[in-house]
Amino acid sequence: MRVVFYSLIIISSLFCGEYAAVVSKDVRTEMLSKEYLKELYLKKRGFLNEQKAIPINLPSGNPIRAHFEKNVLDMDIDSLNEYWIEQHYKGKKPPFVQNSQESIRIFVKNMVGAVGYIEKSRVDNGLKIVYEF
Amino acid sequence: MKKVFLVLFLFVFLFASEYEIGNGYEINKYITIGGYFSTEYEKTDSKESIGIDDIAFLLYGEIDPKINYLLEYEAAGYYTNDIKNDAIDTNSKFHIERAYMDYIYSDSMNIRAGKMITPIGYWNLMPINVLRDTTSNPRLSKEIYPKFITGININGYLPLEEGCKYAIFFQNNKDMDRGYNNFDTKEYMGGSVTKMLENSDVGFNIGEFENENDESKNRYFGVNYRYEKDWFEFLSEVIATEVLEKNKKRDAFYLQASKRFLYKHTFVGRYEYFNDRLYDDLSSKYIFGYNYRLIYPVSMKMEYQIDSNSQKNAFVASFSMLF
Repeated sequence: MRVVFYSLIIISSLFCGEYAAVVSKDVRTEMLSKEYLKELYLKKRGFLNEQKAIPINLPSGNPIRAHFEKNVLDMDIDSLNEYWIEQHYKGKKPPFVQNSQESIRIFVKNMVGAVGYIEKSRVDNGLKIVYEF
Repeated sequence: MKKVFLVLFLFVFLFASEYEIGNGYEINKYITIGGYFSTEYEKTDSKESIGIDDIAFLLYGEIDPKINYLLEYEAAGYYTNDIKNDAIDTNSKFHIERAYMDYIYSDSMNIRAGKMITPIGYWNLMPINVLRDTTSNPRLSKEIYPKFITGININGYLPLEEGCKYAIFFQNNKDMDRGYNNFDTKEYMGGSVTKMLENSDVGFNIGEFENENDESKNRYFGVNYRYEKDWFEFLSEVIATEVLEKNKKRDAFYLQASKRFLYKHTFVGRYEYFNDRLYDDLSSKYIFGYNYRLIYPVSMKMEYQIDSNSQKNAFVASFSMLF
Protein backbone atom coordinates (compact mmCIF):
# COMPACT_ATOMS: atom_id res chain seq x y z
CA MET A 1 0.00 0.00 0.00
CA ARG A 2 2.82 2.35 0.96
CA VAL A 3 4.62 1.54 -2.30
CA VAL A 4 1.49 2.49 -4.27
CA PHE A 5 1.15 5.74 -2.30
CA TYR A 6 4.74 6.85 -2.91
CA SER A 7 4.53 5.77 -6.56
CA LEU A 8 1.49 8.00 -7.03
CA ILE A 9 3.32 10.95 -5.48
CA ILE A 10 6.31 10.41 -7.78
CA ILE A 11 4.08 10.01 -10.84
CA SER A 12 2.02 13.10 -10.01
CA SER A 13 5.16 15.16 -9.43
CA LEU A 14 6.36 14.10 -12.87
CA PHE A 15 3.18 15.34 -14.51
CA CYS A 16 2.62 18.50 -12.44
CA GLY A 17 4.87 21.37 -13.39
CA GLU A 18 7.42 23.06 -11.20
CA TYR A 19 6.35 26.48 -12.46
CA ALA A 20 3.03 28.26 -12.75
CA ALA A 21 1.56 31.01 -14.89
CA VAL A 22 -0.29 33.31 -12.53
CA VAL A 23 -2.70 36.23 -12.51
CA SER A 24 -4.11 38.39 -9.73
CA LYS A 25 -6.78 36.64 -7.67
CA ASP A 26 -9.14 39.46 -8.74
CA VAL A 27 -9.09 38.36 -12.39
CA ARG A 28 -12.22 36.43 -13.29
CA THR A 29 -10.73 33.52 -15.20
CA GLU A 30 -10.35 29.77 -14.85
CA MET A 31 -7.37 27.65 -15.85
CA LEU A 32 -6.08 28.54 -19.33
CA SER A 33 -5.18 26.10 -22.05
CA LYS A 34 -1.57 25.99 -23.21
CA GLU A 35 -2.67 27.33 -26.60
CA TYR A 36 -4.46 30.30 -25.04
CA LEU A 37 -1.44 31.19 -22.87
CA LYS A 38 0.81 30.88 -25.90
CA GLU A 39 -1.42 33.24 -27.89
CA LEU A 40 -1.35 35.76 -25.03
CA TYR A 41 2.46 35.75 -24.95
CA LEU A 42 2.67 36.03 -28.75
CA LYS A 43 0.13 38.87 -28.57
CA LYS A 44 -2.27 37.11 -30.90
CA ARG A 45 -4.81 37.47 -28.11
CA GLY A 46 -5.04 40.33 -25.64
CA PHE A 47 -7.78 39.50 -23.15
CA LEU A 48 -8.39 37.39 -20.06
CA ASN A 49 -12.13 37.10 -20.00
CA GLU A 50 -13.05 40.78 -20.52
CA GLN A 51 -9.90 42.09 -18.87
CA LYS A 52 -7.07 43.44 -21.06
CA ALA A 53 -4.10 41.13 -20.50
CA ILE A 54 -0.51 42.26 -19.87
CA PRO A 55 1.90 39.34 -20.34
CA ILE A 56 5.17 39.69 -18.43
CA ASN A 57 8.46 37.93 -19.20
CA LEU A 58 11.57 37.29 -17.17
CA PRO A 59 14.76 38.68 -18.79
CA SER A 60 16.23 36.97 -21.83
CA GLY A 61 18.63 34.24 -20.75
CA ASN A 62 16.75 33.45 -17.55
CA PRO A 63 16.42 29.62 -17.25
CA ILE A 64 12.75 29.81 -16.19
CA ARG A 65 11.97 31.92 -19.25
CA ALA A 66 13.82 29.42 -21.45
CA HIS A 67 11.78 26.60 -19.87
CA PHE A 68 8.55 28.57 -20.47
CA GLU A 69 9.43 29.31 -24.09
CA LYS A 70 10.34 25.70 -24.78
CA ASN A 71 7.40 24.05 -22.99
CA VAL A 72 4.57 26.55 -23.39
CA LEU A 73 5.41 28.55 -26.50
CA ASP A 74 7.06 25.53 -28.18
CA MET A 75 9.63 27.90 -29.67
CA ASP A 76 13.40 28.27 -29.36
CA ILE A 77 15.11 31.62 -28.96
CA ASP A 78 15.84 32.01 -32.70
CA SER A 79 12.25 31.28 -33.74
CA LEU A 80 10.97 33.76 -31.18
CA ASN A 81 13.39 36.47 -32.32
CA GLU A 82 12.23 35.94 -35.90
CA TYR A 83 8.62 36.08 -34.81
CA TRP A 84 9.09 39.44 -33.05
CA ILE A 85 11.04 40.87 -35.97
CA GLU A 86 8.05 40.06 -38.21
CA GLN A 87 5.69 41.56 -35.63
CA HIS A 88 7.75 44.77 -35.62
CA TYR A 89 6.60 45.30 -39.22
CA LYS A 90 3.02 44.79 -38.01
CA GLY A 91 3.44 47.27 -35.17
CA LYS A 92 3.65 44.87 -32.24
CA LYS A 93 6.28 44.68 -29.50
CA PRO A 94 7.24 41.69 -27.28
CA PRO A 95 5.85 41.45 -23.71
CA PHE A 96 7.26 43.66 -20.96
CA VAL A 97 10.13 42.31 -18.90
CA GLN A 98 10.42 42.25 -15.11
CA ASN A 99 13.85 41.50 -13.67
CA SER A 100 13.02 38.78 -11.15
CA GLN A 101 10.36 36.34 -10.04
CA GLU A 102 9.79 38.53 -6.99
CA SER A 103 9.08 41.61 -9.11
CA ILE A 104 6.75 39.53 -11.34
CA ARG A 105 4.95 38.27 -8.24
CA ILE A 106 4.42 41.80 -6.90
CA PHE A 107 3.52 43.28 -10.30
CA VAL A 108 0.98 40.57 -11.15
CA LYS A 109 -0.61 40.76 -7.71
CA ASN A 110 -1.12 44.50 -7.97
CA MET A 111 -1.96 44.86 -11.66
CA VAL A 112 -5.25 43.26 -12.61
CA GLY A 113 -4.77 41.71 -16.05
CA ALA A 114 -1.04 41.05 -15.73
CA VAL A 115 0.10 37.47 -16.41
CA GLY A 116 3.48 36.13 -15.32
CA TYR A 117 5.23 32.86 -14.63
CA ILE A 118 7.12 31.95 -11.44
CA GLU A 119 8.09 28.91 -9.36
CA LYS A 120 5.00 27.33 -7.83
CA SER A 121 6.51 27.61 -4.37
CA ARG A 122 6.33 31.43 -4.67
CA VAL A 123 2.62 31.55 -5.37
CA ASP A 124 0.74 33.17 -2.50
CA ASN A 125 -2.93 33.80 -1.81
CA GLY A 126 -2.97 37.09 -3.77
CA LEU A 127 -2.33 35.10 -6.96
CA LYS A 128 -4.27 32.59 -8.97
CA ILE A 129 -2.63 29.79 -10.94
CA VAL A 130 -3.90 29.62 -14.51
CA TYR A 131 -1.44 27.12 -15.96
CA GLU A 132 1.26 24.76 -14.68
CA PHE A 133 4.30 23.68 -16.63
CA MET B 1 10.82 68.51 -43.89
CA LYS B 2 11.79 65.17 -45.41
CA LYS B 3 15.48 65.77 -44.61
CA VAL B 4 14.64 66.66 -41.03
CA PHE B 5 12.67 63.41 -40.77
CA LEU B 6 15.59 61.34 -42.15
CA VAL B 7 18.19 63.04 -39.93
CA LEU B 8 15.98 62.48 -36.88
CA PHE B 9 15.69 58.77 -37.66
CA LEU B 10 19.45 58.36 -38.24
CA PHE B 11 20.26 60.27 -35.07
CA VAL B 12 18.00 58.10 -32.95
CA PHE B 13 19.36 54.84 -34.36
CA LEU B 14 23.02 55.86 -34.07
CA PHE B 15 22.73 56.89 -30.45
CA ALA B 16 20.21 54.37 -29.20
CA SER B 17 22.01 52.08 -26.75
CA GLU B 18 19.22 49.50 -26.44
CA TYR B 19 18.63 49.23 -30.16
CA GLU B 20 18.59 45.76 -31.75
CA ILE B 21 18.51 45.55 -35.52
CA GLY B 22 15.16 44.42 -36.88
CA ASN B 23 13.22 45.34 -33.76
CA GLY B 24 12.90 49.09 -34.17
CA TYR B 25 13.74 51.58 -31.46
CA GLU B 26 11.21 51.99 -28.68
CA ILE B 27 11.36 55.56 -27.46
CA ASN B 28 8.56 54.85 -25.01
CA LYS B 29 5.39 52.76 -25.09
CA TYR B 30 3.69 55.44 -27.18
CA ILE B 31 6.36 55.60 -29.91
CA THR B 32 8.49 52.97 -31.62
CA ILE B 33 10.31 53.84 -34.82
CA GLY B 34 11.84 51.62 -37.47
CA GLY B 35 11.88 50.99 -41.17
CA TYR B 36 13.29 48.96 -44.00
CA PHE B 37 15.01 49.26 -47.34
CA SER B 38 15.87 47.03 -50.28
CA THR B 39 18.21 47.24 -53.25
CA GLU B 40 17.63 45.20 -56.37
CA TYR B 41 19.47 44.00 -59.47
CA GLU B 42 17.58 42.62 -62.47
CA LYS B 43 18.83 41.25 -65.78
CA THR B 44 16.64 40.22 -68.69
CA ASP B 45 17.17 40.12 -72.48
CA SER B 46 15.99 43.71 -72.78
CA LYS B 47 17.29 45.38 -69.62
CA GLU B 48 19.85 45.32 -66.87
CA SER B 49 19.11 47.54 -63.90
CA ILE B 50 20.29 48.17 -60.37
CA GLY B 51 18.85 50.45 -57.76
CA ILE B 52 17.29 51.19 -54.40
CA ASP B 53 13.89 49.63 -54.74
CA ASP B 54 12.25 50.61 -51.47
CA ILE B 55 12.93 52.81 -48.50
CA ALA B 56 10.35 53.17 -45.76
CA PHE B 57 9.91 54.39 -42.21
CA LEU B 58 7.58 53.03 -39.54
CA LEU B 59 6.11 54.74 -36.51
CA TYR B 60 3.79 52.92 -34.14
CA GLY B 61 2.75 52.63 -30.52
CA GLU B 62 0.09 52.19 -27.91
CA ILE B 63 -1.96 55.25 -26.96
CA ASP B 64 -4.09 53.33 -24.49
CA PRO B 65 -4.16 49.58 -23.62
CA LYS B 66 -6.98 49.25 -26.16
CA ILE B 67 -5.83 51.77 -28.79
CA ASN B 68 -2.82 51.31 -31.09
CA TYR B 69 -1.67 53.16 -34.18
CA LEU B 70 0.77 52.59 -37.04
CA LEU B 71 2.14 54.88 -39.75
CA GLU B 72 4.30 53.74 -42.67
CA TYR B 73 5.80 56.19 -45.07
CA GLU B 74 7.50 54.79 -48.20
CA ALA B 75 9.34 55.77 -51.38
CA ALA B 76 9.31 52.97 -53.98
CA GLY B 77 11.72 52.99 -56.93
CA TYR B 78 13.90 55.47 -55.02
CA TYR B 79 16.80 55.15 -57.51
CA THR B 80 17.07 52.97 -60.62
CA ASN B 81 19.99 52.81 -62.99
CA ASP B 82 19.10 51.03 -66.26
CA ILE B 83 22.64 50.06 -67.26
CA LYS B 84 21.72 48.59 -70.65
CA ASN B 85 19.70 51.60 -71.81
CA ASP B 86 21.85 54.13 -69.96
CA ALA B 87 18.91 55.70 -68.10
CA ILE B 88 18.59 56.81 -64.48
CA ASP B 89 15.24 57.18 -62.78
CA THR B 90 14.66 58.55 -59.30
CA ASN B 91 11.65 58.91 -57.07
CA SER B 92 12.20 60.61 -53.75
CA LYS B 93 8.50 61.21 -53.13
CA PHE B 94 7.33 59.41 -50.03
CA HIS B 95 3.76 58.14 -49.85
CA ILE B 96 1.61 56.89 -47.00
CA GLU B 97 1.57 53.12 -47.31
CA ARG B 98 -0.27 52.46 -44.03
CA ALA B 99 -1.86 54.84 -41.53
CA TYR B 100 -4.40 53.34 -39.16
CA MET B 101 -5.66 53.08 -35.61
CA ASP B 102 -6.86 49.93 -33.86
CA TYR B 103 -9.53 49.88 -31.21
CA ILE B 104 -9.26 46.47 -29.52
CA TYR B 105 -12.67 45.86 -28.02
CA SER B 106 -12.06 42.14 -27.35
CA ASP B 107 -10.26 39.16 -28.87
CA SER B 108 -13.31 38.74 -31.07
CA MET B 109 -13.51 42.34 -32.21
CA ASN B 110 -10.65 44.58 -33.24
CA ILE B 111 -11.76 47.64 -35.21
CA ARG B 112 -9.12 49.05 -37.53
CA ALA B 113 -9.74 52.35 -39.31
CA GLY B 114 -7.54 54.14 -41.85
CA LYS B 115 -5.32 52.95 -44.68
CA MET B 116 -4.15 49.35 -44.28
CA ILE B 117 -3.05 46.22 -46.12
CA THR B 118 -6.05 44.30 -47.46
CA PRO B 119 -6.35 41.27 -45.16
CA ILE B 120 -6.09 38.51 -47.78
CA GLY B 121 -3.92 35.39 -47.91
CA TYR B 122 -0.25 35.37 -46.97
CA TRP B 123 1.73 37.26 -49.56
CA ASN B 124 -0.27 40.42 -49.34
CA LEU B 125 0.09 40.56 -45.56
CA MET B 126 3.88 40.32 -45.62
CA PRO B 127 4.71 42.38 -48.69
CA ILE B 128 8.23 43.61 -47.92
CA ASN B 129 11.32 42.10 -49.48
CA VAL B 130 13.28 41.39 -46.28
CA LEU B 131 10.60 39.16 -44.74
CA ARG B 132 10.14 37.01 -47.85
CA ASP B 133 12.24 34.29 -49.43
CA THR B 134 12.10 35.64 -52.99
CA THR B 135 12.71 39.14 -54.35
CA SER B 136 9.82 38.86 -56.79
CA ASN B 137 6.12 38.71 -55.94
CA PRO B 138 3.62 36.37 -57.58
CA ARG B 139 1.35 38.16 -60.08
CA LEU B 140 -1.58 37.02 -57.95
CA SER B 141 -0.49 39.44 -55.22
CA LYS B 142 -0.19 42.39 -57.62
CA GLU B 143 -2.89 42.16 -60.25
CA ILE B 144 -6.02 40.60 -58.79
CA TYR B 145 -7.24 42.82 -55.94
CA PRO B 146 -6.28 46.19 -54.39
CA LYS B 147 -3.32 45.69 -52.07
CA PHE B 148 -4.57 48.41 -49.71
CA ILE B 149 -7.90 49.68 -48.51
CA THR B 150 -8.78 53.00 -46.90
CA GLY B 151 -11.72 52.19 -44.71
CA ILE B 152 -12.77 49.96 -41.84
CA ASN B 153 -11.62 46.44 -41.04
CA ILE B 154 -13.23 44.45 -38.23
CA ASN B 155 -11.30 41.34 -37.29
CA GLY B 156 -10.60 38.86 -34.51
CA TYR B 157 -11.20 35.32 -33.33
CA LEU B 158 -14.56 33.76 -34.08
CA PRO B 159 -16.19 33.35 -30.65
CA LEU B 160 -17.67 29.89 -31.17
CA GLU B 161 -14.89 28.23 -33.12
CA GLU B 162 -11.48 27.72 -31.51
CA GLY B 163 -8.46 28.71 -33.60
CA CYS B 164 -10.52 30.44 -36.26
CA LYS B 165 -10.01 34.09 -37.27
CA TYR B 166 -12.11 36.37 -39.44
CA ALA B 167 -11.83 39.80 -41.06
CA ILE B 168 -14.47 41.89 -42.81
CA PHE B 169 -13.58 45.16 -44.47
CA PHE B 170 -15.16 47.89 -46.52
CA GLN B 171 -14.19 51.11 -48.26
CA ASN B 172 -16.52 53.76 -49.63
CA ASN B 173 -14.21 56.69 -50.24
CA LYS B 174 -11.03 57.70 -52.05
CA ASP B 175 -7.69 56.13 -51.16
CA MET B 176 -5.87 58.13 -48.47
CA ASP B 177 -2.81 58.18 -50.75
CA ARG B 178 -3.01 56.52 -54.16
CA GLY B 179 0.79 56.43 -54.48
CA TYR B 180 1.45 52.70 -54.35
CA ASN B 181 -1.93 51.06 -54.57
CA ASN B 182 -2.24 48.79 -57.59
CA PHE B 183 -5.91 49.64 -58.32
CA ASP B 184 -7.73 52.96 -58.17
CA THR B 185 -10.90 52.21 -56.28
CA LYS B 186 -13.45 54.00 -54.14
CA GLU B 187 -15.68 51.03 -53.46
CA TYR B 188 -14.31 47.84 -52.01
CA MET B 189 -15.68 45.28 -49.59
CA GLY B 190 -14.77 41.75 -48.61
CA GLY B 191 -13.90 39.30 -45.92
CA SER B 192 -11.81 36.31 -44.96
CA VAL B 193 -11.87 33.37 -42.57
CA THR B 194 -8.77 31.43 -41.51
CA LYS B 195 -8.70 28.20 -39.56
CA MET B 196 -5.48 27.41 -37.71
CA LEU B 197 -4.53 23.72 -37.52
CA GLU B 198 -1.47 22.00 -36.12
CA ASN B 199 1.48 23.06 -38.35
CA SER B 200 -0.87 24.48 -40.97
CA ASP B 201 -3.73 26.83 -41.70
CA VAL B 202 -6.32 27.24 -44.39
CA GLY B 203 -8.22 30.38 -45.36
CA PHE B 204 -11.05 31.50 -47.61
CA ASN B 205 -11.67 35.03 -48.84
CA ILE B 206 -14.15 36.91 -50.97
CA GLY B 207 -14.30 40.51 -52.14
CA GLU B 208 -15.78 42.92 -54.62
CA PHE B 209 -14.33 46.21 -55.85
CA GLU B 210 -14.73 48.73 -58.61
CA ASN B 211 -11.67 49.40 -60.76
CA GLU B 212 -11.85 53.07 -61.71
CA ASN B 213 -9.27 52.72 -64.49
CA ASP B 214 -11.41 50.52 -66.72
CA GLU B 215 -14.66 51.08 -64.82
CA SER B 216 -15.05 47.37 -64.26
CA LYS B 217 -16.60 45.73 -61.24
CA ASN B 218 -14.61 42.73 -60.00
CA ARG B 219 -15.67 39.95 -57.68
CA TYR B 220 -13.17 37.38 -56.42
CA PHE B 221 -13.08 34.22 -54.37
CA GLY B 222 -9.85 32.79 -53.02
CA VAL B 223 -8.42 29.93 -50.99
CA ASN B 224 -5.04 29.82 -49.28
CA TYR B 225 -3.18 27.02 -47.54
CA ARG B 226 0.09 26.92 -45.58
CA TYR B 227 2.01 24.04 -44.02
CA GLU B 228 5.04 24.71 -41.85
CA LYS B 229 7.26 22.29 -39.94
CA ASP B 230 10.98 21.86 -39.18
CA TRP B 231 12.09 24.79 -41.39
CA PHE B 232 10.06 23.50 -44.32
CA GLU B 233 7.23 25.68 -45.61
CA PHE B 234 4.64 25.14 -48.29
CA LEU B 235 2.51 28.11 -49.35
CA SER B 236 -0.30 28.26 -51.85
CA GLU B 237 -2.94 30.79 -52.86
CA VAL B 238 -5.55 30.52 -55.58
CA ILE B 239 -8.00 33.23 -56.65
CA ALA B 240 -10.75 33.29 -59.25
CA THR B 241 -12.10 36.69 -60.30
CA GLU B 242 -15.15 37.52 -62.31
CA VAL B 243 -15.16 40.84 -64.14
CA LEU B 244 -18.85 41.60 -63.83
CA GLU B 245 -20.84 43.09 -66.74
CA LYS B 246 -18.00 42.15 -69.11
CA ASN B 247 -18.53 38.49 -68.28
CA LYS B 248 -14.81 37.73 -68.25
CA LYS B 249 -12.69 35.81 -65.76
CA ARG B 250 -9.25 36.30 -64.29
CA ASP B 251 -7.60 33.39 -62.40
CA ALA B 252 -4.29 33.06 -60.67
CA PHE B 253 -2.46 30.77 -58.31
CA TYR B 254 0.97 29.96 -57.01
CA LEU B 255 2.58 27.03 -55.23
CA GLN B 256 5.74 27.68 -53.27
CA ALA B 257 7.98 25.36 -51.26
CA SER B 258 11.00 26.45 -49.24
CA LYS B 259 13.45 24.68 -46.96
CA ARG B 260 15.92 26.30 -44.63
CA PHE B 261 19.31 24.77 -43.81
CA LEU B 262 21.76 25.63 -41.03
CA TYR B 263 19.59 28.57 -39.96
CA LYS B 264 20.93 31.03 -42.56
CA HIS B 265 20.34 29.33 -45.93
CA THR B 266 16.95 28.94 -47.59
CA PHE B 267 16.25 27.35 -50.95
CA VAL B 268 12.92 28.13 -52.55
CA GLY B 269 10.95 27.06 -55.62
CA ARG B 270 7.69 28.56 -56.90
CA TYR B 271 5.31 27.95 -59.75
CA GLU B 272 2.94 30.78 -60.75
CA TYR B 273 0.00 30.83 -63.11
CA PHE B 274 -1.96 33.88 -64.26
CA ASN B 275 -4.77 34.04 -66.80
CA ASP B 276 -6.57 37.32 -67.53
CA ARG B 277 -9.27 36.64 -70.11
CA LEU B 278 -10.31 40.30 -70.23
CA TYR B 279 -6.97 41.36 -71.71
CA ASP B 280 -5.94 37.97 -73.18
CA ASP B 281 -2.96 37.74 -70.88
CA LEU B 282 -1.88 34.19 -70.04
CA SER B 283 1.45 33.48 -68.38
CA SER B 284 3.18 31.04 -66.09
CA LYS B 285 6.53 31.11 -64.43
CA TYR B 286 8.97 28.86 -62.52
CA ILE B 287 11.22 30.50 -59.97
CA PHE B 288 14.23 28.98 -58.27
CA GLY B 289 15.88 31.00 -55.55
CA TYR B 290 18.29 31.17 -52.65
CA ASN B 291 18.05 33.41 -49.61
CA TYR B 292 20.99 34.02 -47.26
CA ARG B 293 20.36 35.69 -43.92
CA LEU B 294 23.47 36.66 -42.02
CA ILE B 295 21.03 37.64 -39.29
CA TYR B 296 17.27 37.38 -39.68
CA PRO B 297 16.55 41.06 -40.47
CA VAL B 298 19.23 41.19 -43.19
CA SER B 299 18.53 39.22 -46.35
CA MET B 300 20.52 38.60 -49.53
CA LYS B 301 18.62 36.82 -52.27
CA MET B 302 19.03 35.65 -55.81
CA GLU B 303 16.58 33.92 -58.11
CA TYR B 304 16.20 32.77 -61.68
CA GLN B 305 12.81 33.09 -63.37
CA ILE B 306 11.80 30.85 -66.27
CA ASP B 307 8.82 32.51 -67.91
CA SER B 308 6.38 31.00 -70.40
CA ASN B 309 7.56 33.86 -72.64
CA SER B 310 11.28 33.11 -72.76
CA GLN B 311 12.12 36.77 -73.50
CA LYS B 312 11.00 37.52 -69.96
CA ASN B 313 13.37 35.06 -68.32
CA ALA B 314 15.22 36.98 -65.64
CA PHE B 315 17.95 36.86 -63.05
CA VAL B 316 17.06 38.92 -59.97
CA ALA B 317 19.09 39.62 -56.84
CA SER B 318 18.49 41.86 -53.85
CA PHE B 319 19.82 43.04 -50.53
CA SER B 320 17.30 44.13 -47.91
CA MET B 321 17.19 45.08 -44.28
CA LEU B 322 14.64 45.78 -41.58
CA PHE B 323 15.73 48.24 -38.94
